[in-house]
Amino acid sequence: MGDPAYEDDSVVIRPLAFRSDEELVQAIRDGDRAAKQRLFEKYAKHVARVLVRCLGARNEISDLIHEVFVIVYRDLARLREPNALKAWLASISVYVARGFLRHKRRRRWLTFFAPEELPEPPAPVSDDDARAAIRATYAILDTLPDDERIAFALRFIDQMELTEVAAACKTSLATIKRRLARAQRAFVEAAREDAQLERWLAESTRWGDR
Amino acid sequence: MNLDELAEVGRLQDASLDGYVDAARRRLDAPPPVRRRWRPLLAVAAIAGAAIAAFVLRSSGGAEPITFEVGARPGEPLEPIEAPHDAELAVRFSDHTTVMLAADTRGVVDEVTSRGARLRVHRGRASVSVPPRQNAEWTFSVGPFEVAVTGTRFDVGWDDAAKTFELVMHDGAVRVTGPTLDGGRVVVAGETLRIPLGAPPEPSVDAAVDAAPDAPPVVLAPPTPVPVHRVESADAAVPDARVATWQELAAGGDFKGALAQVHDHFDDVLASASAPELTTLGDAARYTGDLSRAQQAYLAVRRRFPADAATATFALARMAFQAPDDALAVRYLDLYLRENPDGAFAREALGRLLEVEIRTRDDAGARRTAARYLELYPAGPHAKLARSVMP
Repeated sequence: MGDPAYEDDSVVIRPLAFRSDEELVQAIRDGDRAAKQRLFEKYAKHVARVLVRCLGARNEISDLIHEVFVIVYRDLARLREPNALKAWLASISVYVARGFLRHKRRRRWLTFFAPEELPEPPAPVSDDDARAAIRATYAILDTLPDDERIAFALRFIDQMELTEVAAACKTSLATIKRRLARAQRAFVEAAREDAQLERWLAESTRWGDR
Repeated sequence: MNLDELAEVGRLQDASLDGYVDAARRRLDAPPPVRRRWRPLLAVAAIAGAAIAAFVLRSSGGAEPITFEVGARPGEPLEPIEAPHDAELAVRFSDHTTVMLAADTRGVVDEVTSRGARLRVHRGRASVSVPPRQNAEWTFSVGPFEVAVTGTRFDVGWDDAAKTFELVMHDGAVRVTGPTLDGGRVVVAGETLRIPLGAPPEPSVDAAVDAAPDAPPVVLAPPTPVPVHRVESADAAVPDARVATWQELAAGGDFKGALAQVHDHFDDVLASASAPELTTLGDAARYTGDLSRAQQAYLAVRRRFPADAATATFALARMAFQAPDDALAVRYLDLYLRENPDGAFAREALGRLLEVEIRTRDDAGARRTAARYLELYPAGPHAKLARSVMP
């Protein structure tokens, strides 16, 4: 009797255990379909998280996850450091998120006859204040340049380290610091105009009120 | 103000991640080209297929060669391709061009470049979908005819026994050259070009088929379900040796040139052009990214030619789908399906409606649409996706 993992192309019955990302990457490069699926299962949530941080919760996220993995499978052969797989996935996610923002700007004509086109947080968030705060946060982020918006979201919403943000954005630490400084200034200024956010963020004086 | 409080936003967002991942997993499991693939409702035939492909992936600066698959195996230029006697055979190119060869169709991919391909149909029929690209170069040699295209969808065939060429345009426009076509002919969306070259054809219920063997090409009425209407664009399509019409520019792939030519009298064109012309104009605008004009052209079809608006309505739905604007896509897809329940794009419209409902997490709607899809198209390209949402 054959290995059940390979008896049905559409179903992987037995999860494969890879000791490291390096081994996982090598298996995919060797044409192992199950390893591809394993990669998705292991990192899809990470990709989703980066996308949602950058863009907010919106209907297109699942399509963008799909897009990220299409790029990943296509370019995996060029990945030089397989053990840096997670950071590489984050950088591709940022690349796709940035592309989405650019694309969205070009499509603004649609609001001409579809004014309801707005991000729709699909997840149930029970706290109305929290929901309003999320909406207000991304409304402000929508006004920032894409690069600053992404850096800000990864640093403050995702709580990434500065070096991680720089790696995800494929730029230097110094550049990220500059982007963050500009984004922080703009965000704080705009947040002060929003009662909901003001209340939410007013518990500390770390960033602004000095 | 403490921006670290924003971490709470992240924690709240995390509740939605599993749903997104589930939806993405379903998409990865679905047939890859589903959104762009198109198969027409061809009942007739036995004719020839062909294909092409190529285009330029210049987003990162360099052109990548096109590859293609015949069925499930990698294809090679100059390797004969033959569809089985009882089934279609798909030729899929890496730029999402799809050529669906009807049963018994024979052809070959002569050449593949970074911008397109040359495909020859020796015998049989092919349904072709070429995504629009400014620099694409595709040529289909079908019998003694040649069809040049940059981005469009059509059915083309060569009946070797009856020596008859037939081209049914669904989307965009092409230029056809060959016997009896002195200088070539532009065929636009909604038109059918049929040219019998051999012995006089069998009597047919369709009067236009009774053309003499040497008669000039015959442009028939649009394909079903669009009702027969006058062929308004035939004269305009006759090529002028000196000044190309906007229709010809569009057919040659110069979409920007076509739009530039109507720039100063765009509203006049909207008010005077035929339904196929307006659809072609909308396509040209869409291909160049001028979505506002594309929308105006398609809406003009709906306004002026409500009986012939099926293709335009589906184009509007597709624009919204790709934008993406899910709410608008649902509206137009639903409108198309209500107005054209047996339309040429009905299967694709229903499939796309299912995709939208899945990605917007309209579970009840998705189940309804999936059930309807499976009832109507149990072997359709969205069938697997439909089954995945059924309880």
